[in-house]
Formats: sequence, structure tokens, C-alpha cells
Amino acid sequence: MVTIKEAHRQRTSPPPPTATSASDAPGAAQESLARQQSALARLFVDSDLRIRAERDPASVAAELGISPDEMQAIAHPAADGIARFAQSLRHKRLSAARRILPLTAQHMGARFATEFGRYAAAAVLRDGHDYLGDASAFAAGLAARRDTSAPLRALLRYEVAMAQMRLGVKKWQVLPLAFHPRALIAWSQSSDAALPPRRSPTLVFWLRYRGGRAREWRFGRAPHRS
Amino acid sequence: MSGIQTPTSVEARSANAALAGLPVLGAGLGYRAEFRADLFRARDDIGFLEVTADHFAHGTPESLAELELLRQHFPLVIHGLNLSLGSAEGLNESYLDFLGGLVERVDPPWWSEHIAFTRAGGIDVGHLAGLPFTHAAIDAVCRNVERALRRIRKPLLLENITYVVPLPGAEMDEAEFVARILDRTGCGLLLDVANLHINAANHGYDTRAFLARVPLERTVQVHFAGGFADGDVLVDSHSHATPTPVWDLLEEVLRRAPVRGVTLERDEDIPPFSELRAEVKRANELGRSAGRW
Repeated sequence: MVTIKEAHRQRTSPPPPTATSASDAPGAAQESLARQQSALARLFVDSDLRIRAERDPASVAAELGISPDEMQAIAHPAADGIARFAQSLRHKRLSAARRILPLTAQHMGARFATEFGRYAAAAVLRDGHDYLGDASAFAAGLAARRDTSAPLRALLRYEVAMAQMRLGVKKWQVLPLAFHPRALIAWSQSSDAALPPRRSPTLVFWLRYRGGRAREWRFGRAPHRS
Repeated sequence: MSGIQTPTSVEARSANAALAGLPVLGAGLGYRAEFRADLFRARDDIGFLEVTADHFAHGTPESLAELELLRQHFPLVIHGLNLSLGSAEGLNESYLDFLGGLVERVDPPWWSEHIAFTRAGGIDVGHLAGLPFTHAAIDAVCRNVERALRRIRKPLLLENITYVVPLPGAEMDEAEFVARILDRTGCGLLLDVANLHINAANHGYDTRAFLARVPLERTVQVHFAGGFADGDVLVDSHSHATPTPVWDLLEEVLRRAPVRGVTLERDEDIPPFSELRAEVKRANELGRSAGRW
């Protein structure tokens, strides 16, 4: 690992012999650039690959389709930068997940970031703009865990379904819940989250009719407003 | 100059020749839905809005209605994040079509993208990644700009980004890299003075030397924002108030370049709207003092 300033000093030294210069055939230079960008993209999004690249650069170079020299040129001086970039990407994914699952994020507090960090470290996001897919996968993983409470599980499912409708991914859907959404929302914002909402089986139905706005209907017993 | 030159097409020339005639928009704000309600109450202080194209990518009736509402009340410019102009493998055609459709719908005086890549080898990184300062990278950007301007016939501004580490194999420095791209494409410059401040601090160069070597006369729009320090590294996070060195740079650029609009960017830890409004007003005053509007 080198610091950002050390890397800058290294940059000012002549390029490695394998680097393609302007005097090479333009096609070869473009191919080299494409290989470099492709390798960097993999390293940015895949934490496991970054770890393996440090331990065994030769085999990772072969996996990425670049020469050991190209691997050395990319990964060694830029390792610190790649790690920082990857950290920044994870932060961006977390921010997006917070926007898509705002009630869950509010209810979980700091634990939301911890859990998302664990999930993001293991889940490679190949489409960096599929934030809905990313947040949905995180929510599904969390909901499937035994230690996740029934109201939190319901809240996660409700928020994912809401986001799918809001972003136009689905035109309609039906979601059976063990709790009424109003009770879930109140619970997620309550300072006494240890007190679970009362169970009230509810069927939530969404419809986006003929390109209009998405509407939501709830069939179940709503809790009394306080 | 590079071994190969991408000849500038008639389309690119005609799209960019109009730079001199672009309207003056004043001081504006990068639009975020979080402060929509406040925005309409502060209409008199906001010269224009910069709309991030990607925020409208889903194209739901709600988002299109929102866009139309904004268009009725503010001058808009479009800012893309994911065209990946630096990709050696070429442009993402579906994103280009989406961007083209948005530009046609909004009809802004200009649109902008970054000198960066976001996509390679089937992976959409989801973040702006820096390019090596090489002739090959310049060729890739010029070729992609050419393609983009054949689809979107509006003046295109190119923005300088931050980079955490310079990629190996550099054949020039950042200022020369940006200058050569602008020279070959004929595009306008969207100069992000926060990015300039951050890069200068992180990579140990002088902002004035940078400004002396880029074609400032092509500057159409300026971005400003505040980031934070992570140890000895500055991070471009759009999460804090604009710091003094960035205000100083903004003032200098406004004095020296024919800027048509300046935009405050804020994406995280969004403060009460009055703080954003105060920053926009301050930038507006700087532009006024410099005789830009």
C-alpha cells in the first residue's frame, strides 16, 4: 500500500515498459486502455478480488485478462486509491439504500449501516446504478434472518414494494402483511421500538393505472390514531 | 498532440460553436427532491437549476410531472453522470438515448458530463472513475464526445473530476489533459472549483498554475461545493458548506472567465434550506461584482 501522495510521486516517473504510448498503433492503445478500465472496474466493485490481487497478483492478472506487468502497473501504485474508491462506492450504496428504505433506516439507526456494510462487502454490484436491486437484496437477506423481528421483516417487505411502485418497476402488486402499514410506520418512528405493533393481517394493493400515479389500498384493521 | 486525431465533425462543431451565444443564467443550485418545497419559496434567489439526469431515469409519471413543474418555474440545464465518456469500449447507447430524450424534453441551453469513465467490461461502477492522462484516453473521450454530439445537438460542457490516485502511464498532467480534450472536441468547460481545490491539495499542485493552462475562455459553468478531510486526503462529498479556498477560486474564475452560470452542489447532510440559499446568494453577488451578470 502507498499513500496518495507517494502514488503521485510514482506517477511522475516514466511509465512502465508495457504501457502503450501514442506512438503505438491507435487500436492497440485503445485495447490496452479498455483492458485497464475493465480490470479497474472489477477491482473497484469486488472486495474479494482486491484481497486476492494483493496476495496473488499473477493469478488475478490472468483472471482479468491482463499481463502481470499491467497488473503491477495498475494494482501496486494505485492500491490505496482503489481501496478508497471502493470505500466511496460502498458509501454511495449505503446512501441509496437509506433513501430507498427510509423507515427501516430510521428504525435501525446505526445498525442499518453496520448490517449494510456486511452485506455490501460480500455482494458485488455489477450494475452500480441498480440501487433498488441492491437495497432489495439487502432487505431480502435481512428479512430472511432468524434474529429479525416479525415487524421489521414486514417493514422491509413493505418498503421494497413501495419503492418498486414509486420507481415504476412494477405496475401493480399485492402484498399480504401481518401488520397494518400504519402501525408499522408508527412503530418505525417510535422512540420505544421495543414495543412491537399489534398484529393485524392486512392486504396491501398497489396499482399504477394507465401511466398515472401509483395508488395504494390497504385491506385490514388499521390501528386507532393517537 | 496525439498520434491520431479524431476529426471534429460538422455536428460537433455546430453543437459547440454556439458557446459564445449561450445565455447567462446566474447563480443556481443542483436540484435535489429533498428541498423541492423550499425551492419554490426562494424562487427569486435561484437563477437556474441543474437537473441530474439520472434522478429521472425511471421516467415515472410522477418524476416527469416533477420535471415539467421545474421547467415551468426555472431555467434548467441537464447534468449526466453515467455516459462514461472516457470508456475505451465506447458509449452506453441506451443511456445516450435516455439522455438525448431528456434534453429534447427539457430543451436546456446546454448539457454536461464528466471527463471520466463509469463503465467497463460489463460493469457499471456507479461512480466517476478517473482516466489515465494519456493520448489514448484523450482519443477515447474525443471519439465518444463525437458520438454523443451526433445524437444530442446541444452544446456539451465537460467537467473535471476528482481522482484519488493518478493512474500509471501518464504522458501529461491533468491541466494539459483537460486542455487537449477541450481543444479537440470544441466543448465548453464545466469547471468544478471544489474538485480543482481537492485535486490540487491531494496531488500537490498549484490551482493557479492549473487555471493558467486550461482554456478558461471556454468556461461556461462552474460547480462549487464543500467536502471533508479524511486524514490528509480531501474528499469530494458535497456534504459540507463551501470552504474559503473554494470561494476564493470561484471568485477568481468569475473574474477571469466568461462564466454563464455557477451551481452549488449538495448531496449529503443537507442543511436547512436557508444555508443553501445564502451560499447561492453569495455566489450571485460574486458574479455580479465580477460583471458576469
